[in-house]
Amino acid sequence: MRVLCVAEKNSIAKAVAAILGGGRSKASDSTYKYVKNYSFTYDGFPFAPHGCDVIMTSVAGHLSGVDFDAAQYGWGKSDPFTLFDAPLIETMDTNQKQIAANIRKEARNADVLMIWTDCDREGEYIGWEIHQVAKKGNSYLQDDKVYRAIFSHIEGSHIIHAARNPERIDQKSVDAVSTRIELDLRTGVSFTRLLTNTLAPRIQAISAPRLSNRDYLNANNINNNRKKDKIVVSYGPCQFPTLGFVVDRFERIRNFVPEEFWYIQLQIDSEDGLKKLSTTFQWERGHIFDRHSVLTLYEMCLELGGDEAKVCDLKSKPSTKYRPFPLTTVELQKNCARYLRLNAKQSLAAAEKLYQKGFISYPRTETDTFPSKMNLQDLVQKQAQREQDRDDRNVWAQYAANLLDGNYPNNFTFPRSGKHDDKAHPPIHPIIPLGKNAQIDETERRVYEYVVRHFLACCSEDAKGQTSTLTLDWVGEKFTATGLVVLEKNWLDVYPWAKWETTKQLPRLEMNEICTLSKAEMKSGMTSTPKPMTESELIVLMDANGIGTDATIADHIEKIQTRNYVQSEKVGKETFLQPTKLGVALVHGFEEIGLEDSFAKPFQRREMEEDLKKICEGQTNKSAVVADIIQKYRGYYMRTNQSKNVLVDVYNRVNRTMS
Amino acid sequence: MSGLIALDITQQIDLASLKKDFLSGREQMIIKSYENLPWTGETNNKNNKPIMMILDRDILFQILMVENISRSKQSQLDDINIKLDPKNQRVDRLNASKLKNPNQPQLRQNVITQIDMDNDNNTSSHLNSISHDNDMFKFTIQGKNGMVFFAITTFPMKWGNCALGAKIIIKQGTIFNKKIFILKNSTNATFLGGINRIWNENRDLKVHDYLTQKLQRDRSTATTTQGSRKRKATT
Repeated sequence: MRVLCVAEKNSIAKAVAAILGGGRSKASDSTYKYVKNYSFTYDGFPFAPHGCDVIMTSVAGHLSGVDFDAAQYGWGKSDPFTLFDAPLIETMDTNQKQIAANIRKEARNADVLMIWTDCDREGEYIGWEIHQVAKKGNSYLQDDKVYRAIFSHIEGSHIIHAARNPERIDQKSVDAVSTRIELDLRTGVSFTRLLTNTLAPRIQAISAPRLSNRDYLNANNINNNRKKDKIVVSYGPCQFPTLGFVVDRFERIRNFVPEEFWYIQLQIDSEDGLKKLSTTFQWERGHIFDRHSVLTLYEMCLELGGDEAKVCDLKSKPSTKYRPFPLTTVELQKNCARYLRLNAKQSLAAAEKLYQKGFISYPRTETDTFPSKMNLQDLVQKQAQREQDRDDRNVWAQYAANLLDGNYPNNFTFPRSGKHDDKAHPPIHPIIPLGKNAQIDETERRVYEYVVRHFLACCSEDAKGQTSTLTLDWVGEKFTATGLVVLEKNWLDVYPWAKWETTKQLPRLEMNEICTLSKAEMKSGMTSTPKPMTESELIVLMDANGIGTDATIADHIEKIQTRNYVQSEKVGKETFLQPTKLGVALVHGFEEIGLEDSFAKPFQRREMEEDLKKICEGQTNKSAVVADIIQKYRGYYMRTNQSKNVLVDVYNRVNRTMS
Repeated sequence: MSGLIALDITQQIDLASLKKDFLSGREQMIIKSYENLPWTGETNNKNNKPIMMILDRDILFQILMVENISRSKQSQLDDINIKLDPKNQRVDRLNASKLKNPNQPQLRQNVITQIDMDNDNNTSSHLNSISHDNDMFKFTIQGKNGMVFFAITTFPMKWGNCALGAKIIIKQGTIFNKKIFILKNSTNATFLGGINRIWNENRDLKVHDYLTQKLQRDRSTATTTQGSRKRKATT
């Protein structure tokens, strides 16, 4: 029997071949230079109990694309409105054709096809693409001859388990991706053409440099250069809501009015041995935005209470700083942006490389709970690197070793469980330790370190402390002071980005004791302008509102910058995202047009993502979802087309008024 | 009796026809508080400096305006804007209360707009729900003589969202200082309900305009308390 196995990337194919082939696989060239074919024998597949010959190869992401026929529907050849109904054609670029040729060739003699693409929706769709191509080389390879491996990382026993327990391609996931591809194409291309035709001439006119005399002499050169810088004003159903978050934050800052607030503060002076302590008590009402009211209360307390307040509550209780939840893709991107100053694209790309090299598990996951039977202590053991010389160990190795020793206050503890499980992959975690000479770049090294520290933190005890709270009653108004003593740092020792520190000691007072106030002041402050959007915050907002998936969030953030809708600005150590005039004009332009569902708000895209989930769950199907959404977009298109002057007017206005 | 709490008490109200002996205890309390001498807030002190006073009788007032003074006007305007124009709401603030019932159709337009980036303890939830149970409210109230005062609540109560024109009896023993009645607990006031329909028409829009005007006024007359240290907070 002959089995053709196809992975999503050559690195995965190579690793799987090495494991299943027992280190005896042979590599040969394929029709595409970056893809190799690995041949070996294997007797672990349930569908080939007597053993078989295996060819393990790969693709390089998607094997085909969809587009409109350029001859009939190319730019300028048809009204963009026709694209909502125009037929779609399959496309392949040169590389994809070469890869497909290899699949067809190897499929010719295959009895079984086994898909080893990444276990997410996109991977399922790529698996389907591979099957379609394989069938063209060998029509015998129908659905019953196709299997699908389920795996999350390329550790040996895990891959062997996947080989022994294959499943079938999930056609519902394939349909969901196919739906998304078609909708993104139809809505994206039609609106991109409409927006570009409407706004590009105006953008060009505003950004064209004034010509000097010398420039007039060189006019030809300038015209040629302009042709190269063709302006595209693109639309995407995820791009615009992503832009919308940034623009709304910008407008909130622009329209911000500082407001004054008032509060009362008490102070008590006491002694602790020779040390003089001054403790400030905060009003339980916090900030009040009405001076008259606060003054009234303040005077009432002064008149009726004078400089005496009574201790009305005294609490001391254990407090906990919880270790983090297991790591998801969004959390990885958010924290790499926040702590390591890496943008979402960089951190995901580094994590992807680390996965391909076998250092970490599959980095695209929404799951924040580990399966209860997973052997995590084994993974911690690997990080302890006990078999290595001390000088060759990573700086966290000793921490990992201490977790397992059992005689240290901070012992191994199974991680907390979050509420999300995508049923495909576990949380991101390290697989093998990083050797001194590991072939990884600096960004990968930093991301790897973050993943390991986060994992070890998850497997540690919570940090423990003791919190004391002292409450004073001043004529019925309550004031509180809190003190914290950190008793055990535990996970904080391996996770330097979180802070929890012992505070100043509280005065020793008894319940119902009358204290003399050294100060009782009415103070004021002002609310301060919100900060501009950071990438970290944007990632979380997108995820919380269902814009993009863990795999595509980084792409959308990059796209709005590439399209010059948003720019990043470094201020000190922080990098903020600020909209450009074009970005602001697009959002406000669509607001003024007043579509049923604003493009710059996340409602429509969120609904689409929910529809895609329903397709995966079998609650609806592709044709129903496509018909419904295309119908809506036809309406949006007609309305936008009728009001396109609004977009130009808004763009002009923003250009005049925005500095 | 339900008629009285729906009327404008600054207008002439004829209570002569009421058979007071047949009224319930509550109804008699309402009548008495209405008939009591209206409050003027004036004192007998010679130098005319405002001093703290204690109310010596129950008095009926009607509510002209309610303000939540524990929240900035900007954040309240954001909430009203979501109600008035949900399609174009700013998409960087959460409205947590609506998310309690995901089956309501209007939840389609709920957006999570603000995340507590420093909350590492509960990454499974992105909701940033803010409790307003202990908020302080300032009521603009009017007695039957037309004079306007204020009342502030310093205890959690359920009538912060009451209709304009609702009636309230401020009880004997309540502290009065600088034109404000300080309602420290439920014994200081009895909320009667009621509504003036005309005052409540387009209420959200009226409150929106009111807060916007106040914000503009604050912008132009921003002052600081003398000698105070400034504390900054984000809304």
